[in-house]
Amino acid sequence: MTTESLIAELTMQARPVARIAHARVCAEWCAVVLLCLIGGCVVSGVAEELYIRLNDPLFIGELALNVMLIVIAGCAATAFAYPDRAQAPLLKPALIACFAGYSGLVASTIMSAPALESSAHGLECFTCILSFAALPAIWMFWRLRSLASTRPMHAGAAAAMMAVATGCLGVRLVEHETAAAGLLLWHYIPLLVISAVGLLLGKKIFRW
Amino acid sequence: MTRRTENEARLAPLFAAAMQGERKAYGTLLHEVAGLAKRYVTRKLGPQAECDDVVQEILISVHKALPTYDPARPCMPWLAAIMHFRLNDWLRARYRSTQHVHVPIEDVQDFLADTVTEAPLAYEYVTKAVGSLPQGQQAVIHAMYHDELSVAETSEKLGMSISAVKVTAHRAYKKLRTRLEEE
Repeated sequence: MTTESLIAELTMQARPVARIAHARVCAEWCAVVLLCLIGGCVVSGVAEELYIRLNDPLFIGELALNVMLIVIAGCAATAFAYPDRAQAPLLKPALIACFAGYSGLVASTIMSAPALESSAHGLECFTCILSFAALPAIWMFWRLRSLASTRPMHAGAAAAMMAVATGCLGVRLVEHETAAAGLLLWHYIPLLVISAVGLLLGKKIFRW
Repeated sequence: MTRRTENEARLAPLFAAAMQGERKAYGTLLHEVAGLAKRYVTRKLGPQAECDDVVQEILISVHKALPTYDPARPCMPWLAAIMHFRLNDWLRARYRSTQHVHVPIEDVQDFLADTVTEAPLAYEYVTKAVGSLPQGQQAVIHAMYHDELSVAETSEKLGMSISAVKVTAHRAYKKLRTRLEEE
């Protein structure tokens, strides 16, 4: 087929195009994340001592970092699905700041918690995170697939990171464990591992 | 005004109209995009036959990705990102395919019995010897033996008279003979 005939064929398909706004997609995943968190908390029940733990600055810091990571990773994943937004200069520094915050948090937790508490978190945390993360992940990959990602691997990693950060936040709201060294092993290392899996998934799923 | 700003001024209204579903504007837009893509791809790949394939991929991508374009934002970064992505995609696919070349055995069975060292070795010697010739002689030898042109065609291609081509070729043969005998 020649370029001219392709142009003629594409021109015949011209029709009014409904723009998919970046802000709309962001609002959609925000709603999905909120629904998922509320649903998860209703089903599993919010931890009884949550209100007491809300006085702990480390716990508040952790929740804030989780929310921040959800927002940054979600916005980044959405931006990576738009050709002209994929190079937003603030995405990388924001993610780096977020991980620096996590490093500080984990270091403070390890220093302040007794060594015995390192066994407080386990495989159950991980499966719970996955159950919280499943819906946002499925939704995010499905939604971004209909857009035009010019950085599919980045988009996949950011989408997976957003979903797992939602899982981490949800689990911290329903679990009874306090912060401990095991938090790093069972909450935040899986976050990085699943984000890496998201890189590969993005390459496969965001083909267009 | 820079070329990029000129393109922006020319294409932005076409994008806006195309999103409204105006067929004529969309056709013009695709022609403009094809022109830009052709220049971009040719600059990156050189004048290859495959350039048209990449240009067509870019046109299809623009068609598919139109809902992600925001008329309130500049159109050139959007278009440039798509062109860059599609070109890299195509290059990746090409490198992948060159790494896994499937040659049917029937195509090469006649050559399998040939000696595998002598011919390429001899070719290497000749290529090296031709490379050591002066530019003018190299051009004549290349045109006559690589491009397989006749003396008349070579003279026309290089802008030399027929007798000058013959003389240059003769001198080149003499030098080549000496060089190859030395080797």
